[in-house]
Amino acid sequence: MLRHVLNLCFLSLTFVFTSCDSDGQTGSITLQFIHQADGKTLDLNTSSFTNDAGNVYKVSLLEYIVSNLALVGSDGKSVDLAEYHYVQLGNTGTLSLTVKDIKPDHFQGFKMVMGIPKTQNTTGNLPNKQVYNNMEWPVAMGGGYHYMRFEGSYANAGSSSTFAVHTGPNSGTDYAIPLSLPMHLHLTAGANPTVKLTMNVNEWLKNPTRYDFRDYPGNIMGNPTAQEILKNNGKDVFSVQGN
Amino acid sequence: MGKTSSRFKAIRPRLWVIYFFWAPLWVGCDHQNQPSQAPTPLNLTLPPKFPELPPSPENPLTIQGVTLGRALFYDKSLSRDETISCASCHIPDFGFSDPNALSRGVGGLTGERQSMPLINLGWIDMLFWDGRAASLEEQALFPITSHFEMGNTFPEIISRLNASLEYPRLFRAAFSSPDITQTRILQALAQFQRTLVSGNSKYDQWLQGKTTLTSEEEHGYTLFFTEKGDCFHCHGTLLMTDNRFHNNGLDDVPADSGRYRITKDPADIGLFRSPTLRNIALTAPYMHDGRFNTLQEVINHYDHGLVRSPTLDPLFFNGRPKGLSEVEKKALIAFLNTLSDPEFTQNPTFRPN
Repeated sequence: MLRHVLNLCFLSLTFVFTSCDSDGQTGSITLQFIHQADGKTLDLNTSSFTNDAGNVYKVSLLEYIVSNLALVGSDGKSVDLAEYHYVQLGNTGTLSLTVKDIKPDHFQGFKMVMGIPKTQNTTGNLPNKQVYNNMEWPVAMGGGYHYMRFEGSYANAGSSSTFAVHTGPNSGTDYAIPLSLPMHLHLTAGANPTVKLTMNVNEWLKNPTRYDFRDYPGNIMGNPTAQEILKNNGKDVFSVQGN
Repeated sequence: MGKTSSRFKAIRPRLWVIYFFWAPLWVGCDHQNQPSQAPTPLNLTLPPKFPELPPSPENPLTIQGVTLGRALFYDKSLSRDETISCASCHIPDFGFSDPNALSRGVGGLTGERQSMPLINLGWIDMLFWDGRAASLEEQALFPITSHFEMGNTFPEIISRLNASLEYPRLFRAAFSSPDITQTRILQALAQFQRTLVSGNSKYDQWLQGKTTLTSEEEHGYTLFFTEKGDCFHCHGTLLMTDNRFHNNGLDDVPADSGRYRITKDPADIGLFRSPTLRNIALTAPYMHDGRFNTLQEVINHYDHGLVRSPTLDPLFFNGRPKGLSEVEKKALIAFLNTLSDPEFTQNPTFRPN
């Protein structure tokens, strides 16, 4: 008898919760991906930027995957937003992500992984579409997907060259960067606030280790030293702003 | 690709042969005054693990549409002087490419660029070396009307097709009415070209565990898919192309500005779309201007012949020589040869009726 009563209660509560959702008792958030170099808006092939090593550079490609995106609720528990998201500078459709049906809360943080953790980073794990397939990290190099491709040209002391910063799971080693960022976001029912995620690309190239394009012009996928530097530098590449 | 189940879902080459042999007879019995039947949807069976074919809702694949497109593809009456068909520059034996560096059009004129192979085009949304066409339906307009390719006009083509005995019937079968229009001609050609799918090479069979590669081929595979050869960034994935544009170090001041002609963005000077490497052994000569006659020449270029310029792709390490040994170059060529797909090049349904 007690079981029947509990079942009835559960069904009733389910109905109430469902009704709340359909009555607009939830909100949405839009993640906006912003890119800059020490405060200067990043663009493709036009503006020049300077890093700590004195490389004056232009960017021709910036694309990356972030994964396990979540908000941290007022109770400290995670509210999952998306398993992964692909971002490409210049590709407007990838620069924002709207997630619906989120219960109102006063969120206190944002979490994500820059790249894809090893347990999830296997070839074929992302949708079979060209945009993801182009990010594949070859099986011959351990498989999975690039975390980031950051490319361009630079000049330094009168000479010019190109750079290609490719991060990923070199030989299966996990260089993905778990990030937990404090943020205040008050979400009310029916609202759709924007959470701004800003990548300062110059942070990839300093703190704690200066990354000079002259030392690492390219072919770093199989270079554990470069991957380790970038993993450590990448911990403060992102900042987040709620409302 | 639609998910509906139909008896044509798993259409096999042999069935195609039967169909194409009998199709003209069936169509021949279809009198002008008879009510038209809707064309039969065609669901292509894709090679294992290929990406889903992007849908073309405005021009869905049908058996009759593909039949018509195939007839048009091989028909020289599409050109001004009736000497050139699409297949004149896209020859099946050469991976639907042209062994001439620059293709020859009407009146003995030559084109500006090498004929691109027509392989797995359904996945490409920026066609030609410079990406000027956003769809296959848009693509065919260019060679048909270009004065140094087919040099024709659509009113002339439509007039010719209307005067034929077969085409009004083929159009009726494909589009439920005998009206011959520019749009329908382009749609039918696009449908046929979407069926030109290659995905059963020795490499594919190896990936599926059905065969083995020689040690030399496997060495080439490893070079291809690691930074030593670094071919995979532009020619990775199962499509063997990233479908993006790159300056691959051919010239310091390119005579052909490539993608720049379309975008007018200086960053696009000398950039061309990466072609698929499927059936690459058959599609010589290579590059947008056909300057390299052999795969050996191509590999030598990437090994030590890259020319620096302001838009040289960063993937080329600023033109630094790769330092491949002769053994490694030979291994790369051995691997590239595994990308040939006889089932594709010999497919009778891709050839003239």
